[in-house]
Amino acid sequence: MDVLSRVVSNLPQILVSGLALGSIYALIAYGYYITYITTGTFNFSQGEYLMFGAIMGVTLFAFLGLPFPIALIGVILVLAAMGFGLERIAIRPLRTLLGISWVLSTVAVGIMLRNLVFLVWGKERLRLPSPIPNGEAAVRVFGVGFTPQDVFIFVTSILAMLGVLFFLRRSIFGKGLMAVAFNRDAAGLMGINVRGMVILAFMISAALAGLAGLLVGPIFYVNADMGTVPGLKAFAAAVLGGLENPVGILIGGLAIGVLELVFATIDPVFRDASVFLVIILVLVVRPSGLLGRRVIEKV
Amino acid sequence: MQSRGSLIRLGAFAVILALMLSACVSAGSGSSPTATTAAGGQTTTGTSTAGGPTATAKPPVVLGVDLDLTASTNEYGQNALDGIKMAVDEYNKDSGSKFTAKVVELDDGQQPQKGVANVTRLINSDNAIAILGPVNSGVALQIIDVAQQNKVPLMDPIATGVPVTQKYKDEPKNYIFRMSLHDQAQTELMMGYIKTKGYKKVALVHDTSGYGTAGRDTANQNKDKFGLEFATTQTVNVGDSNMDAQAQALKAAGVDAILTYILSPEAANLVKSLDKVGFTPRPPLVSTWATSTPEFLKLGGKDVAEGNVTVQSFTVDLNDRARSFAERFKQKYSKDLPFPVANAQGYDAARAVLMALDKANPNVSNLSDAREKLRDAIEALDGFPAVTAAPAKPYAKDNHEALNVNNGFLGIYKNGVLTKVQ
Repeated sequence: MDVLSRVVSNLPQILVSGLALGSIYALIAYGYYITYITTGTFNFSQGEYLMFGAIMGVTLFAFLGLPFPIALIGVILVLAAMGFGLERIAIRPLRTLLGISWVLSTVAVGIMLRNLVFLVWGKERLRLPSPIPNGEAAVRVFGVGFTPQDVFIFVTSILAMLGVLFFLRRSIFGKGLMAVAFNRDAAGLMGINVRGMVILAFMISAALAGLAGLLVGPIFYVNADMGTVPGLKAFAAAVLGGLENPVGILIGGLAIGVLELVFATIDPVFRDASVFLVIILVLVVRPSGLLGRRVIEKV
Repeated sequence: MQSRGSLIRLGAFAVILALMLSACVSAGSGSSPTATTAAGGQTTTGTSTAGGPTATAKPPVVLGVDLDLTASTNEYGQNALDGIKMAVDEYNKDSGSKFTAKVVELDDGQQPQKGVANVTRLINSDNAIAILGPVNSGVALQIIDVAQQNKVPLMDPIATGVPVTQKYKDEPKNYIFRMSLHDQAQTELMMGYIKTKGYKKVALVHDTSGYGTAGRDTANQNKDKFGLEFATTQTVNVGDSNMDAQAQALKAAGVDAILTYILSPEAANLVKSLDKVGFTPRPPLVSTWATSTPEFLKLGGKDVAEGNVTVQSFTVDLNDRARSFAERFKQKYSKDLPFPVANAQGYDAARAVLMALDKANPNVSNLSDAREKLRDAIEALDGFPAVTAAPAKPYAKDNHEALNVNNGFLGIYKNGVLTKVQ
């Protein structure tokens, strides 16, 4: 079969490019994970937060010429502050009022962010240069091409995810977060500051999106519309892997990155649609995701 | 606490909702900045710089401009506008000119209905003697109806769709003129270049937008004339960041040139992917003028641009007039031509109208008569010193295209600069 042989012969390239792309989806999806386990809510404008991270990256790194580590810290601080704001303005006041109104309010925050970027930074696509010297020049090893930026994206994302997991399991704040995730009421009774933990979760979530934006800036072009589709694919990755399972999310993210490029090889026109179709099929068979816990629901 | 099952359902619902909302937003995204611009009011330029006692004696005329100044093709609009304003300023400063021209510019944000509203306003409220614009063929096909019905000459410096000047060609008087290379001419120029260079294996790459699919159809209609056969046809999505799959297919087909109907961001990505999959020597993109936008160099860089070929009507090295235009532009705006071909076509479009206006010298208090006399004078214009490749007599009764296959040419990127292919 022509299509199959094309995919097979290009498989090494698909895997390399797909894993770099997929690690970004997984990184954004960790933002969904961390707020979901603590509050049962997530930020549907995670994609716009990624976009804003990239915009801040362009502003600090490309326009102001700050050294990359400073720009990185700047992006993370700004985005963490925005995560704090989101929780206070768009989630907390509404969550108790109506069950799902936070869905709309977080989407609304995303729309506002996009319009803000249109107005302040304009509609132009901006270029975020790679922080690595020659980071965008193709390198070929054993017949597979990639850029140093691809490697940087993959390694940084994996490290960031490991860092988050380590933080949750080992640090005192992380343990507090997990306690809130496990049983909110009991954690409160044990003297854990539940509200503080919830805010912390949203700050980490937003910072992860900002980091992802800074990483993908050099391979996506930076503009107000850049985050929507990656945000949705990351959500798909989280659902695919199981919203409460960090390993599942990582696998889900990488799988979507690779799948996307497999479909692009078959026919680029169906690239995005096919990815979402596969997710629908998976969820029909396993509604809680690939690695999610099966739950028996009492009715 | 809610159970996990219902949360998953909730999540699924939320995804659908978010998808719908984001679809609404992207469909309407062009409108929000447009609305702001409209609310912020129009901007006018031109008249005051003329100054002096002679200026007061000259009757004023308004050139109405409708361009995309904020949506995704705003680079075309902004740069054409800079050219237009420069032509008007020079005209007003020239003591020999017979009128004082004023530019009223409006932004259509790529939306046909906004363009129609703008042009209606420019004709009826601002009393424009002629319209310059628009950027997009989709907008052009709507607003030419307004111009033709109101008998107002319209000069399009940018849009390339063939029907724009053809729709009213059988009317007693066609009010629609163009100062840009239409798609048919661009295709013939690209294919002629491929044939001359003797490229044997040629690929066709187009995007999935209306622009790309129309380009694909034009290419397929014309390939037999040039004895071309496409070794492979590849499609790219607008906004795709990774084009490894297409690059692999092009490499597998072993093509030696790539005919493209894609825009700059996608073209830059395609070249990056060609490098990534190790397609060396890299075959050149032979592209419509879409890859001559400043974005191509900005997003791709010099190495990505190097050796690629694009259809042009202007390069700075074209002739002395072109060089002088580039120098005057730099004096006025303190920068090199950001988008040379759009700057030059905007400039020539406005100048052709102003030169015809002086030749007709109509009584502008009778506006409808003046508009008709201006139209006739544009059609009869001769001795026009274009900075683009447009001829001295750009138009005739049966030809409203100043630029065509016989005066368009190809530019090649060398070290970050577009130069004329010899």
